[in-house]
Amino acid sequence: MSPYRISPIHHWHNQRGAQFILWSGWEQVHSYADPGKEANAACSGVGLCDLTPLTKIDIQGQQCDALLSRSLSPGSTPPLGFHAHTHTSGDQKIRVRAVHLARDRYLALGSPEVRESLYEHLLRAASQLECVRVTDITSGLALLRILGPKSVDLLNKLCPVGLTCKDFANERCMQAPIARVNAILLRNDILGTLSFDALISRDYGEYVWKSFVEAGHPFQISWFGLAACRLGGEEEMQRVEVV
Amino acid sequence: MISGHRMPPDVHRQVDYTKKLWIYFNGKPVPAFAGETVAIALFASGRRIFSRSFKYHRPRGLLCCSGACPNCLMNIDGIPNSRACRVPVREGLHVSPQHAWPSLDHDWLNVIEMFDRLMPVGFYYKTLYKPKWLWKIAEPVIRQLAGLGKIDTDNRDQGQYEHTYESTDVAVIGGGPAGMAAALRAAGEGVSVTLIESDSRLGGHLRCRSGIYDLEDFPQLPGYDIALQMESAALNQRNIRVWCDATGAGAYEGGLLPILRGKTLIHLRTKSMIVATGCHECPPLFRNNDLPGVMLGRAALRMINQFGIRPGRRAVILTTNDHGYAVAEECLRAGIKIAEVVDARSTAPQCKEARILQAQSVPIAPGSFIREAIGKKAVKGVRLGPLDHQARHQAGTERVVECDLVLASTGWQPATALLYQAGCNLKFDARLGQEVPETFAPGVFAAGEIWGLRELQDILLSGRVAAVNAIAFLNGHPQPGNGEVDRLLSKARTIAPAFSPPAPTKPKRTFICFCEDVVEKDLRDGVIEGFDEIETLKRYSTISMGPCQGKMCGRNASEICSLASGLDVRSVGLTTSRPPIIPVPLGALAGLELHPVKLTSLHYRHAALTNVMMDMGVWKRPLVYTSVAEEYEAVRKRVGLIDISTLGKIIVQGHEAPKLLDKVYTPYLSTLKPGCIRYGMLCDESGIILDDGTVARLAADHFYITTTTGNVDFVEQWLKWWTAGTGWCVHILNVTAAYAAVNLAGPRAREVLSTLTEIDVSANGFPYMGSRTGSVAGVPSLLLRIGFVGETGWEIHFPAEFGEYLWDRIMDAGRAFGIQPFGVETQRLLRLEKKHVIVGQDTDSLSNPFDADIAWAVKLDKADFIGRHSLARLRSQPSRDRLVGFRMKREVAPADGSAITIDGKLVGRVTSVRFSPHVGQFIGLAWLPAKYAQEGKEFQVYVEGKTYPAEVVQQAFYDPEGARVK
Repeated sequence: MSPYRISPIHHWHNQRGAQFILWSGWEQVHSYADPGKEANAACSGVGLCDLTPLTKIDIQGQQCDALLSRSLSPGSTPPLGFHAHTHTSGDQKIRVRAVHLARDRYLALGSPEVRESLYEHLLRAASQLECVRVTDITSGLALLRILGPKSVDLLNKLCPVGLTCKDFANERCMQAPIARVNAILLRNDILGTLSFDALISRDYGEYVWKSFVEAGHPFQISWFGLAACRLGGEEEMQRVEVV
Repeated sequence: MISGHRMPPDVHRQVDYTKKLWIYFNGKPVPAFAGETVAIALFASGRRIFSRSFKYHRPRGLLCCSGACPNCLMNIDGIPNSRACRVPVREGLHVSPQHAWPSLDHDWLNVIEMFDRLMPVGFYYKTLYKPKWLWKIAEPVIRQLAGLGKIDTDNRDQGQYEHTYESTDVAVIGGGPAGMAAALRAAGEGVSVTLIESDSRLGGHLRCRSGIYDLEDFPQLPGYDIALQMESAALNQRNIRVWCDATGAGAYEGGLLPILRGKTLIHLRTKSMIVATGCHECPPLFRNNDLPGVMLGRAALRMINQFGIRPGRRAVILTTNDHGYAVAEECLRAGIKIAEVVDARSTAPQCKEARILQAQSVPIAPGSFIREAIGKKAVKGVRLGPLDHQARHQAGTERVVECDLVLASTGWQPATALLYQAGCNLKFDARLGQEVPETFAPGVFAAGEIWGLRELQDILLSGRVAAVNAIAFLNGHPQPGNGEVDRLLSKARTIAPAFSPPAPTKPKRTFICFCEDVVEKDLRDGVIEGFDEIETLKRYSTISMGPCQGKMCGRNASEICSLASGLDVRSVGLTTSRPPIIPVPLGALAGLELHPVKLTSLHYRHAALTNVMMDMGVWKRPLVYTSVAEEYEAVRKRVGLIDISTLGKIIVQGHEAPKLLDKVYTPYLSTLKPGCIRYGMLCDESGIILDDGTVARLAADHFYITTTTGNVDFVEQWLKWWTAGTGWCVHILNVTAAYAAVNLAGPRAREVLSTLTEIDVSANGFPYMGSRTGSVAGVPSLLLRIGFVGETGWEIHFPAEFGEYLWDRIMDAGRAFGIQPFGVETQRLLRLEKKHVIVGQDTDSLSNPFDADIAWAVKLDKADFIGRHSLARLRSQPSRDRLVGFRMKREVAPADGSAITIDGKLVGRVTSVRFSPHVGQFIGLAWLPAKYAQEGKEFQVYVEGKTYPAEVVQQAFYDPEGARVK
């Protein structure tokens, strides 16, 4: 039996009859029922998707800007927030989101397929620099996507920041508590639909997911799998690493 | 069917007479119509008594009809202290009275009023304490009689409260004409506006006015039509968010406004705030001013124009201002007979409404005032008389006027609580007869009646001025002035000079505080007793401390305090208003039940095997799977497996990582060789143990640290703290969630592990306190050879997403060797037999390594580390207490924390105790004075009130040589 990877919310999905597919070794929810209906429900209200398998690499150190400039293109480093970068692996060009969390800290996000190649690529680049460290923390963070026009309302029930679309623009990030748990929140609209990615410690994954589900009742919250993500538009989905 | 006090339908009212429904009062059906409130439906059905007063159980009827006074507090659908005038009717709603026995109409507890002489103000400070036993008798009786409403513990299903977090550029509190004008003006500038109104609709008092206004923007329109037009404009303005049925509960720093809206507590962050909360009418002061039938003028207007209800048939209007004439005119239009208009001012005004009344031959009595309301359970008439030139009652000139309704308009108290809490200063304006804002906090503005303005056009203008000022503030201009408002105020001072009502002649039944049954005499007595400052008088008399929080009584209390003390009313001031200014249910403060819970990646494997889980901080851990005895035997004789994922795990990397670790840990870590592990202890500057764990060196500049479960965040911060500012190349990352970990331990652990990995796990190939990285069942893992439970064992740390897979593989591989999962309880016993200390359980905030018998982990020959100086000093001093092992001499089980005595003196305490199958006795760890920490020293342990002998054991109870772990 080959080792398989599961997200912290795996059993919740299982209890709701989720169909799983293998996604780079991860048991990922393909759908709960009809992907089309899941996508529609999310786009008309608010939907939740567990995208924990996405690659997350922590980059720390005084020279993290230099590391990103050298290893990803375009070379310019983003302001606090995140920008899409390209990482070339062989013939493949891969989209990477570099999330600028602090002066000396980034988080690189990519699809699960690029986990090893991206990590090794960054490690190699880091080895040429004096003080920067690259750590694969995919295992440590759950990634929950909150998508739909009501997503701000839902987040405002759990996140004490008081988000507005105006103040928290697309492609910005913040660190704030969600359901009393520290989280990194990225705004990442998809085809004009409001979308947020919440990164939280894996061991809180199920708790935060359930908190979203409970707080989302008034908005008829739904949940969707990878298949519904892909229905969102091939090109756009690539941008958000769901390949 | 519309009958009784209900008036014919009118489009301006909010009641839909086509939708009839039934509510139940004390189980009896009461007809109601959609749009009515509970109080209105009950009033229409003939009910006049809505509650009983707090202290004397006097009958109380509708007073303000706006959710400010305590007179209509009832139990509605199981929720006590609901304001019946605010709760809309719905089919099947159940209402019951509270604080009355046996019924609301015939409350026997009213007999208390006969003994009011025995209960003067502050009587509980003066009586019932001598002799001492008297209080023991009195206390339960007082407690039984006191209190307001009872929580129905069987009725827990009252829905879920929740919190939301919102932000806005401009928050306008108060949806009356000033608030709406401010919101519309601010929204016109493109900023986001949130308009907050406590009623179910916008409009405020304007919705209750049918009189015609002739304004530039609204020519020849009745008040409620102007309100409708403005409401429609606000609702249709895209950047105005309207929250009705929402009340600001307080104002906090940082522009935070908590808003209670239904079952949601909204945390609203504002950049700028406009307070347009208007004024409350002050209740009139005369004897029996609390009788059902005595109402505030605006309450009557609300009943007539909002709900189509006549509050009475024959009314006496008591006034000290022109508003009373407007009330009288509206009553007249509603078909209520006006018995008399009693105006305290010496001459009747020449306002439009006064002329209408005179034209209809309504008797007007200028220079007069009511001295007493007549009636027992409702007003049957009033006794009134003239005032002298100093506005005092003239003796012996009273007459009686029959009526069933007294409507009073005798002064205003601005709702300034939010302004005050937002940091604004207020001052009393004698001409306007109320407090007005004097200075403002940045970004905070006021509009409307709160300024003392009474004319609608002035009120609207003040709203717009506030909006312009708020916009200027948002655009970064300095705090604007209030020039325009000052002009309006000057005008208002000229138009309507305030008139203070006369002091009552019979202060005994003249109620100031309707919530706490404080009468005028109480306040006067309080002042005579020395409580002549409003804040101390408040604490002594409990005035303004009830459900209305001073909204009804604040101004009157200040006036009476001024009269009694001889101080100017300006220097008396008002009592301090603190948040929350409205009653907020505890459920609303709690919100959703968000109790963060951490689950390890193996949680569901444990849940399938046991339901005995324990809370360890925020973690859930299996306490025991089968039984401690079974699990103990498996670990000691075969092999056991425990989930230790909750251990804190921190990666420290960088060229200067060894330097940092040497600085914060007590042993040497820079000398640790890659592939080796060392026990590490953290102490603070005074040598107190903070945490302990293991430190594995994976590479020259790469360390893997474990910490105790609860301390990982602290250790992470501690490491970062001591790195900050050094410029060292050190990177600290908490990877607790990233790695699952299990401990495979027992004499057959090696055999199990060897079936799963290619790593050489022989005693020589993988020695004790060594670490290796490699694959276990195909999963990349870090193996640490550690023996916390005293047997050969490995901690296997691996990516958390493989948790269940690897657990299953290890269990499969171990089946042939009799593997058994073991829980926290078994682990605690196993480590206790080895005398391994748990920081936090066996140590406290005074424990140092020498006293805790871990001196071997302190290397004082190291150049420096945190706490070294203190530890060196402690080393040179004799220990005061020592942590020692002990065994009970009898088969009794002391609890953790049990007291220890020697020669009858309390000398120490037990920190951990368990029954040891190996020793055959209860064993444990305990703190004892150092002089008693000798092998075999006997002491006594308290167990359930008796003492039992125990003796000190210096070495480990199990395998003291440590042979089994190697």
